[in-house]
Amino acid sequence: MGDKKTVRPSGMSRRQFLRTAGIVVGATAAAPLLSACGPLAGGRATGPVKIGLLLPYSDIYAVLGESITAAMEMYFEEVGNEAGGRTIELIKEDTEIKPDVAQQKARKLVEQDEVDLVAGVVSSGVLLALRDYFDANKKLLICANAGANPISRDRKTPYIWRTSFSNWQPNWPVGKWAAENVGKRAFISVPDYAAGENTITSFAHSFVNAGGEIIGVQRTPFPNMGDPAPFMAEIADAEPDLVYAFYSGGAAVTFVKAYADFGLAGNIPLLSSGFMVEEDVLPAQGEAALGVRSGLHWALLLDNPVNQAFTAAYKERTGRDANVFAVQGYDTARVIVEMLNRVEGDTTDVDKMVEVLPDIQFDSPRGPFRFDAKSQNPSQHIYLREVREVDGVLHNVIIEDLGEIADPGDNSKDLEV
Amino acid sequence: MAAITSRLARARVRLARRRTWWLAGLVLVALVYPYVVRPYQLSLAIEVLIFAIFAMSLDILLGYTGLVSFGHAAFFGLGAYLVAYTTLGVTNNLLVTLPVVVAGTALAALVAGFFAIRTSGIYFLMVTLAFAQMLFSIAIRWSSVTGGSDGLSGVARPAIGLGPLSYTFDSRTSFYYLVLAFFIFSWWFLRRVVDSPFGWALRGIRENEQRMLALGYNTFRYKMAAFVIAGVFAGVAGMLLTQFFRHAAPENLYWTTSGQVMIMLIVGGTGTLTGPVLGAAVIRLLPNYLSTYTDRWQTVLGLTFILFVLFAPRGIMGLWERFRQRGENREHSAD
Repeated sequence: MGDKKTVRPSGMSRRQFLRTAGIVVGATAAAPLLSACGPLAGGRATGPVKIGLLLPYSDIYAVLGESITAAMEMYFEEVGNEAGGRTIELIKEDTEIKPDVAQQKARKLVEQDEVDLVAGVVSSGVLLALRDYFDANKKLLICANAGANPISRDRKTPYIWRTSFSNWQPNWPVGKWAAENVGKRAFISVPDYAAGENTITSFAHSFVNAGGEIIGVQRTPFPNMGDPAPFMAEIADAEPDLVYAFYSGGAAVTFVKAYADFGLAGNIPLLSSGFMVEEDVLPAQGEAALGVRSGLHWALLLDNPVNQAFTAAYKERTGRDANVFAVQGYDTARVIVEMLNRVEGDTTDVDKMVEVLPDIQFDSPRGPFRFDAKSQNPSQHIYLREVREVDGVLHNVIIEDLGEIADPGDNSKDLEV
Repeated sequence: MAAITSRLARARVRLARRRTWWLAGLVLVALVYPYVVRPYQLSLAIEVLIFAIFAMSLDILLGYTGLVSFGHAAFFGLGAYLVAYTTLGVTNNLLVTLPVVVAGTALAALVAGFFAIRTSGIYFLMVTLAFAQMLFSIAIRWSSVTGGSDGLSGVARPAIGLGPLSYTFDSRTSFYYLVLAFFIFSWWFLRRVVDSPFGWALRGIRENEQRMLALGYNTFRYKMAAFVIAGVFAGVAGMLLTQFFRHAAPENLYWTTSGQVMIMLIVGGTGTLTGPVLGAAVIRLLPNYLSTYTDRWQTVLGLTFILFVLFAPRGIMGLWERFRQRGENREHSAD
């Protein structure tokens, strides 16, 4: 009797029915895939130009992704959403800050959506992870932020061009300036990861060559520094002439506030990479940031007509002050439009697009914009800025133009400490 | 009675034969797959197969042995870094890289297991999590070897061969077949493992370890062996992903990767081997389609997960089982 359930002579037919049904459903689901079968996508010459955007829209870098997108859309609208006789269509994909997610999204954009080119990329880790894919598939990527040095150096590929900066760029000129204007004995504090290490080697190179001496380096836990007290104590004990630091986001707020709380601000001058006191963190840092001097390729109050128009339009559109990431997005869009105009909208030949890039020049919110063909990265002015109170609000005021700087294209201007 | 027994035996033979046909059909579909889909679908299939291997390996621990490891990314990431380092420094020949990955992850699993297996329940979970996070922080900090937060890029696709006879899996199609071969082998091997007396001993440990001890089983050794097998297959999955992406990233070692594979298991159904494969497909493919339509795709994914936990705790396999059971019961009452 108990066996009755296992015998079930007619049970098979039901099972068979379910399997048949399963096959039918499966085949129906697969049908669109079959019909869509074709060769690996290339660029086209007609219809809208499809531009894929690989940016973080969730996670800690979401603000950067949104700033870049808003500024790009703003520029495309300014030119009537058209370039080289074709309309522009944007397809956005969220990379988070995960290299594997970014790879998947890049494949989707290139192979499924058949975009003509890709722009974006905020984090250096993501850029390095994507590099081989774009290189192997000969697809153009215009990088709007990630500053990984190797992309301009030993990991360079003809198909990745950067409109932002290399990590070396904003730090190196400040080293020389600091040795000549602030003091000869420097202490460096950075988070313990790749961009922090880039900061040390580029600053140290020009600082030491200008007669300075690095008397100490501290590498703090990344991404969360934890309790800043021991690090502040170490700085105070070293009694340097100046401190050079690089932090961003929440860590930048922690560091700058602690620096003031422990009485170091005002006694030991603090210099930094511009990202540490950019517009996104200044409000949270408040008065603690007063007097911090930093190098960057842009400042909100940079006095040129393009910047004034840009910052006003951006504020009107988004309700917020512009930031350096928005400027990079704006210039990325402009580079794309100029390029499409030069190839007359023909995106079928990637080499032709790459060929016209070095000739592109225009007035950007950051001043004159042009590519350095060797490093495939902008050759741009680095401004020395100081945080001051302007009409009751903290802003970075430009105190000196450190001149036009291009990445050396190799590691010859880096110094291991 | 004899009649019933022989009918039962015949039914079992028929069932086995049908299952063979069924599997042969699936393999055939997998073999022609690259020729009927677009390259992007092929990429997705490669990813799904790799994560399926990863998920199946965790099923050995979580599903069959009842060891809830929250640090399985340790072996996945270790495999990734081992193959990246070997490929960049020595060779991309699988005859070298595969043994390095297998030996390296087995050794790491032995060491980690030696400590972790002495604990159980939440403590086991914490120890495995700590081990993975330790490897993660080494990957971030020891930048001269691991490339720090940037990871190791420029990893070549694997090759296989001796002397002049060599073949590189350069094209996506050839790499797909390589991954497919690894997947089929893993599935076959792990299936053999769980159906063997050893596999039944693991189930025994999951159900009642004290009793297994009383029966004279050295459960420590059994658990240790399961831990090493799971670690090695996770390492192989990490190796394949690195060769596919040509990049090893510290995220491969991060606890979110451990979490992701655990979700694959829960969605697919633990202790079934087939469930994790389905779970891997769902969890890898769903965000891919969702994110095109909405920025809030993570919310949708989270809700899906909650619905599964609440209404289908045994995952897709459990749903399928329930569905089949109901159909049979209905027929039964119709008899």
